[in-house]
Amino acid sequence: MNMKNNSARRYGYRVITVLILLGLEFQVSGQDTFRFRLATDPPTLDPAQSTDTTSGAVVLKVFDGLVEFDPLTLEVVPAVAESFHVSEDGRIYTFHLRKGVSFHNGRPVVAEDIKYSLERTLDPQTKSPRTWVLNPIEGAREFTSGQADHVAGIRVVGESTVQLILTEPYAPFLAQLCMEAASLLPREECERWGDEFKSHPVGCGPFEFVEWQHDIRVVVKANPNYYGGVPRLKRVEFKVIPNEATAFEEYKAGGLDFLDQVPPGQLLRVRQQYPEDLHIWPYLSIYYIGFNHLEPPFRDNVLLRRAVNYAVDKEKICLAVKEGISFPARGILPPGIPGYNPGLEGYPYNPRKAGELLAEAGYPGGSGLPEITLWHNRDDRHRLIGECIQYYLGQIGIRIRLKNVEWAAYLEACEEGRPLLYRMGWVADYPDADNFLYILLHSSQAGSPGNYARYSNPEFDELVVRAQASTDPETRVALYRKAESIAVEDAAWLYVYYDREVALIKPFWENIILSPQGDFTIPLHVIRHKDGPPP
Amino acid sequence: MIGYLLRRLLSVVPTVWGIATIIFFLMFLIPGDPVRLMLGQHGDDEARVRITHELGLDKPIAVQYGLFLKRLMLGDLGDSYRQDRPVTGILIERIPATALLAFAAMLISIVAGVVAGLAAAVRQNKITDAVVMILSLIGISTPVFWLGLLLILVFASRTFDGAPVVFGWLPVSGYGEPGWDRIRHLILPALSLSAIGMGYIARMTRSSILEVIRQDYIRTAEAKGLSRFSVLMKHTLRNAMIPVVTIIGLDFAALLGGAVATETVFSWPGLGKVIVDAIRQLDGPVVEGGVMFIALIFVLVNICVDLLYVVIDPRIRLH
Repeated sequence: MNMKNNSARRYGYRVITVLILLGLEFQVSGQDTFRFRLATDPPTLDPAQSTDTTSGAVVLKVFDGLVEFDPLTLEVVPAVAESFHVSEDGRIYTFHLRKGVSFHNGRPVVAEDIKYSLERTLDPQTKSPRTWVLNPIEGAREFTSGQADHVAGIRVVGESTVQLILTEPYAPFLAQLCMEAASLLPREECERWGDEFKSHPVGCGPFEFVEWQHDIRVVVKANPNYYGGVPRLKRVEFKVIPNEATAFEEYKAGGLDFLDQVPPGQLLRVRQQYPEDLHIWPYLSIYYIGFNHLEPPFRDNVLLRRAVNYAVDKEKICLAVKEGISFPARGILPPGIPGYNPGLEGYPYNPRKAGELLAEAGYPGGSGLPEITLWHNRDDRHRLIGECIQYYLGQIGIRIRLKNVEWAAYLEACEEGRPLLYRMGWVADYPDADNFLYILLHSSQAGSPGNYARYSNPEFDELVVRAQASTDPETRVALYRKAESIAVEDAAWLYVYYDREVALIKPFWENIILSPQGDFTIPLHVIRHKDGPPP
Repeated sequence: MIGYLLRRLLSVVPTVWGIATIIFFLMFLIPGDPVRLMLGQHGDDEARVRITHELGLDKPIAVQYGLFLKRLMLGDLGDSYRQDRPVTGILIERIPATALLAFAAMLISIVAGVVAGLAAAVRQNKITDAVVMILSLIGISTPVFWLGLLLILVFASRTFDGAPVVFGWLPVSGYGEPGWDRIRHLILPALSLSAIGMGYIARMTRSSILEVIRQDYIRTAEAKGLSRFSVLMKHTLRNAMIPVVTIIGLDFAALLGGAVATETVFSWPGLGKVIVDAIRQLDGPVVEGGVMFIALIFVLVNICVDLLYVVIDPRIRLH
């Protein structure tokens, strides 16, 4: 009996030992591999096709363009171009290429590559959703529509100089050139891979593509010939982990070095338990509730729109729904965008004033106003914000009904102008006031281009167009501020909040530059391990 | 037998065609536009018209359906709108992961479910029976995603509320490298996915055995002096397996079609998640291809189950 017990015990010990050994197989982070979480599998790695932040997170590491944003100051600085010059009339952009820049296949970048890359994005065969980035170039639209066999406004002047000629002066053009759609690609690799180039990207950025296992991970390695200095990281692994709670556990277990979000409701706990890992920084975005300016009751009724703005306590929404990360919006341009106006008062919470304005608008205590449907797309956060707005507007007598719609149908409804009230958010494509004011509120952009509210004010339109054409940054800022104050005065939207980015980063990584353009733009090539060799 | 098999295999064609037709028109009826989704919020109207034309989405629905059928007859499932690559490739990429998870979960479900069901039947109305019935009810009723997260917290987390966790043995998520690493990654999703099947199989095995155990031939076997084990395994279990095999077949076919919640929680690169993502993105060709594949699996597994009946019970003849 004793012998039997002993043998069972020995067997038990063996099992426990094996289990402990399994447990010890922790995923230890190396000093040269950085693991970055992606919430979905990237739809593409072709810069001409990239429209989402997931694709952008990888594409921006593999590809470079002529110019790029300084991640902190957000100024446009040279990248593959060593220098650039804008003509006095603001139409001709001359770029001189840096020497010694090579694609990952080893071939040096020459001026012809710029022509090829930009024409490839504009080529209808590429089916790029981002042709608008290059449309300001003379002849771009004709080329895309098949009326021309080349883009007239792209001129190669020698091996290392290229000129881009615009149809008319357009100040945001340099900023648009920093976008993925204007990345440089080697013709021979695009032709070699054909349609498969999106899965085998070759650029001249700081990291070279290694492998893409769909829905598992994308791996890139350091480009040893990178003109901006060899990256300190040898490898970056973008791990696809869709579930927020799983991603958080993976981060805690050491399987991730960068987690792009904290699960809802966990921020307080994370602040206490991971104070060194937690990073919160400004993000170029706004969350708003749009009014339909073409339909009653909001059409031509600025008093009603102002009443709605005063009635909602945005500060409480930021605290309750966004756990204090976001802060109330006083206008359209978020902090960080050139032209942001810190002096703008906006519409602080004032239910008494809201009631008075509602009465002046012809609806005392909400009488005479029909029940209004506030549309939002399917998401818990949007629902909660909708419920808050429903409550606050109910306090002054405006009855709100919430309508929850799948994103595809929602986007279509907003583009077609069906909702009277709808929630929407916007994250800057590029850090320029034009990307907010022109796209979201200029009357020419009504509908699918971005002005879902169908807001229209000729004075506002004129100021924004003048700002687009101006080459003087100070003049532009002044024009945008004036335009913004007009839209705020008009209560074009219900301005809710400006967002901030939240991320967890393992504290043993340093030199992390948290860009207001979003976590996907963080320059990974400068990150280094604290215990790694000195720079 | 061969004639039966051929007839059943031929019936696959109209079944899959019918499902393909339904799903094609359902995708057309879903509100929203895949091209608008691709373009995002700042959608360029010119680009929208151009891409819509290039994808053939501006053609009348009847023409689109005709082209879809023509492609299908040539064995071409088309290209994904979103990923711009062949649907066949996308599905083939996912099948190994889905099959591995389905087989592992099924194996756990069958072994644990049959043993538990047998134990409950043999000890009917005793504590073992009660425990098995309660556990099987919990297995059936527990949401898979919740169970998945619970398993992660218990067996994969390194800390809980700041305190270290002892059982942090297994990886939290992912597919792992081929070999031992993949098996370690497979354990938690397979366990999580097997819970429902385990519960059903245990309950079905129990009730089926209790029915068979009262039959005359069992009494005869016992009267002949056969051991209890022999009566149970040779006479009872085999005769009780017909309804259990039906449940196993349907469950297995469903698992081969992908398990969205488990795949999402454990970041497992399977078929279910691809199809659900494609539905959200209105990526018609991927949804159509994926659903047709699942339908095909269901029909084939059902044929296999029917064939298995003959093996289990020689009295059954296929006509």
